[in-house]
Amino acid sequence: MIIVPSAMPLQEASDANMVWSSEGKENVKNLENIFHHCSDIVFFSFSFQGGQQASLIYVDGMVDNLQIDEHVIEPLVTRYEQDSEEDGVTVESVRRTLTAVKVKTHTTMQEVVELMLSGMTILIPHQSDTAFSIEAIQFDKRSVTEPDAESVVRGPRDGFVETMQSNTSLLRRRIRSPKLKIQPIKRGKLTHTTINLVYMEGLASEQLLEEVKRRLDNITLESILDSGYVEQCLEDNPYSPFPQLLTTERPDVASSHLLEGRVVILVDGSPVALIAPALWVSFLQSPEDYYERHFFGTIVRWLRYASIFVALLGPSIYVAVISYHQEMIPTALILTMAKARAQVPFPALVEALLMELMFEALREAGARLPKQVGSAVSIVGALVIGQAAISAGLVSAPMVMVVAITGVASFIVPHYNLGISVRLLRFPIILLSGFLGLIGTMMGFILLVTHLLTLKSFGVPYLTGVAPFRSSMMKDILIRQPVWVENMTKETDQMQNAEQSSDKANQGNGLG
Amino acid sequence: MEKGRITWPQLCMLMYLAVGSTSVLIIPAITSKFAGNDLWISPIIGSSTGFLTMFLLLKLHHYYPEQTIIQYGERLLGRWIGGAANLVWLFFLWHGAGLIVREYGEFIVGSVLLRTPEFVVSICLTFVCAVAIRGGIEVLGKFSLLIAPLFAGFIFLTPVLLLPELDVHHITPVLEKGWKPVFEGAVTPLVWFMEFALIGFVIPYATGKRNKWRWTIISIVLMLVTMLVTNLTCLFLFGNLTSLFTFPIFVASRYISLGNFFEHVEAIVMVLWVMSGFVQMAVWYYALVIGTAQCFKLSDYRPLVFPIGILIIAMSFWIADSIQEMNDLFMTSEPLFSGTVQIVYPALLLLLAWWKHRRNGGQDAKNRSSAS
Repeated sequence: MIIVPSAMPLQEASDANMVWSSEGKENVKNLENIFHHCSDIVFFSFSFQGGQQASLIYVDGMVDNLQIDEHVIEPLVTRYEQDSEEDGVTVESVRRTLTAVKVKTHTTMQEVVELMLSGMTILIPHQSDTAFSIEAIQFDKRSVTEPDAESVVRGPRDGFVETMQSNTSLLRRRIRSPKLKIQPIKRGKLTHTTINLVYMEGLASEQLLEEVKRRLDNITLESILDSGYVEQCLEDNPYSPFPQLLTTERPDVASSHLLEGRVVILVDGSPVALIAPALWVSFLQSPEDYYERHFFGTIVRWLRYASIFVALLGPSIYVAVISYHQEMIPTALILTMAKARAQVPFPALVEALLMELMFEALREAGARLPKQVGSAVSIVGALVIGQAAISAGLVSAPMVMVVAITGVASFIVPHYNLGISVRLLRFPIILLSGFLGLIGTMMGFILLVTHLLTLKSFGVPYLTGVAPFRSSMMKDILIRQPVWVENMTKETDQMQNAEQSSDKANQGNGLG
Repeated sequence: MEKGRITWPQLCMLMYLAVGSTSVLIIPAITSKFAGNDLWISPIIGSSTGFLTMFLLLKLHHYYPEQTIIQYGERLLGRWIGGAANLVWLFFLWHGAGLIVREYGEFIVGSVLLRTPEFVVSICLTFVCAVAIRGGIEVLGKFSLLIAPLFAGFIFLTPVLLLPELDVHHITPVLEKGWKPVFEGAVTPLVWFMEFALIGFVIPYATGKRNKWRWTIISIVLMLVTMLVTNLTCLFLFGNLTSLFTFPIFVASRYISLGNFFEHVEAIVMVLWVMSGFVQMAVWYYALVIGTAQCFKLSDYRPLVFPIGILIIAMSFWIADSIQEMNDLFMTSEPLFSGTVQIVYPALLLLLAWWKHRRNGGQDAKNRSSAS
């Protein structure tokens, strides 16, 4: 994808044509000049009941033709009445005739151009200095489907789509409160992309909101094609390997973070919402932890903590132990391992790097390939990584096991972007372990932890909860607290109410 | 200069690890050499200097709550005498940091990476510390709060895992040869506990409403309990043989065997020591860096981190030719050097501060220090 380095901003496109004239006919002509060679822009001329000429201008494919016919053209052509004897067309009479709901008037060329490009239909009577914008937008959009990247067994199956209106409505349908605020900001000099800042008033801190707004305002990109562009502009430390904004395609996840006082950033044209600030622990939480029963949630969470360690340190510990600390392995196991490794020509470090690279290549190939040939990759992959590599004597069977376990462990991380960083960081730690044994593993780990300790997401320490230690957050880190615990006090009230009402019900039924 | 702030529990764990890590490795052998099977009494006597040093520095902190020992040393003693005294302190820190790098280098090269040149290990460890120090005191504080429970947990778990091997009868006869050997054995723990004087470099950055006396004393008591546990574990396991090993507790961990599966955990022990040793090195290193920056009135300490790291590595090789010579150092010149710098000097400062405080009539000294 090529980003045009510096194209002319829209308003400078053709300065002479951007002037708004008092003559409607002139304005139509100017618009025709501006949209020279734009075959998708429709200029449709017709005359009112009284014979006055007018033009309808819209983008083909973004407008609901039926609505325009019924509520704009038809009334104007059949029922238009001039209030005064004057020649021109007055605003009031047009407004009275139109039966469309959202009609606004405009008198600058820039406004008109921008609105038309975002899907409005523009009506310019030739004898008026005013342009009308009519909102009758309809364009092809993907319907709301289950997000493939974040699937759950239990839980809602709707996901964000590329259309802003659908996304905001998905959030609004979950949080039916006037406190849910949605503030639009336009960014991208060429693409004029709408970025919506969504937050709960009173729950999100003022400081955070101001910081997010400040950073959004500072975006000076030419084009924004996905929320990833925005994410990279908002990060605290762009050189960190760790993601500093949470991403999700699930409106339920976005809503739960909104209710915890975080800010959600929706970008038009992207089904991926950004959540700020992001904490390390949030990356290890899946919505299903909360939908399933709490024992399950707690255990799965610990499984994830364990597997992120395995994903990060698994191959490096294997390399360190096999090359430097053989005494750590139980005798029976070391004998079989030695037998398996006897025919392998490479040191464990090279073997590990080779297999990990192969695994990464297969994963990437599987993600990019068209679905029709995707299965071919997995068959080849299973053969290459599995049996064939061992019988060819390139790698040992234990190494295949380690790589496979690491691979599975890295996919357990519910947020894909943290999984990427963990997989990436594996390589330097493998190298360190290959050179210095477990000491090297530890050095890599210490460097990583010190980096995490300095990292912040929107001013909030990345490891909040663990360091700085917050005992109040432990109920969502060490365990997944049952949902009813939080409502314990309310619950007792409800129980009293329930008893009273059941008493009443019993009396009502006459059962006593 | 330092923008970060740490909490009192973080400070407590920081000091615990800064003093405790190497002591666990070296103290049992040295105390056993002198005190024999009374090696567990020596740390109790030794802890007296810990309480004394902590008292002196907390009192000084009370007079100058926002300054390090380098800053109020110069204020109390004047530009020249204070500057000279600070240079001695910095040399002591340099010497101490070099000693610690050497201890860890010897330990790793001597027991795990037998064929690796020692300078490789020293350079790697120092580099990791340097990166952490550039992150500031906050990183060190948070890191130690993460690691200290693991470290202490393992120290206290070792005797439990070794339970079948332990023989309590090794403790008798108590005080067989009288008190003299016990006091001789206490010399090294005495030196170790003096290291709590390092708190003079980090205490100005501690904030929070918690009781500072309580948390600093917790750190000394934790240290004492750790020494007792390791010394007793070694005694119960090896008896009078303890002094024959260089790192007895490391050897002890080799005896751990549970169900023929959980055995040979010395690599895990080493890993924990590398982590806690990292904190220890980093604190000394940090004190040296921030002390140097304050002594020469620099606006930022970060540019000093890497050059001073190179000096520390050099010092680690100058300090002694072998680990035996290093142990000899702990018994001869080191106690006097440590005692002068870490107890006599703060005591002198406290006396001066107290005298100035009285002469200026109450609030003056406090006001001046808070104004600066």
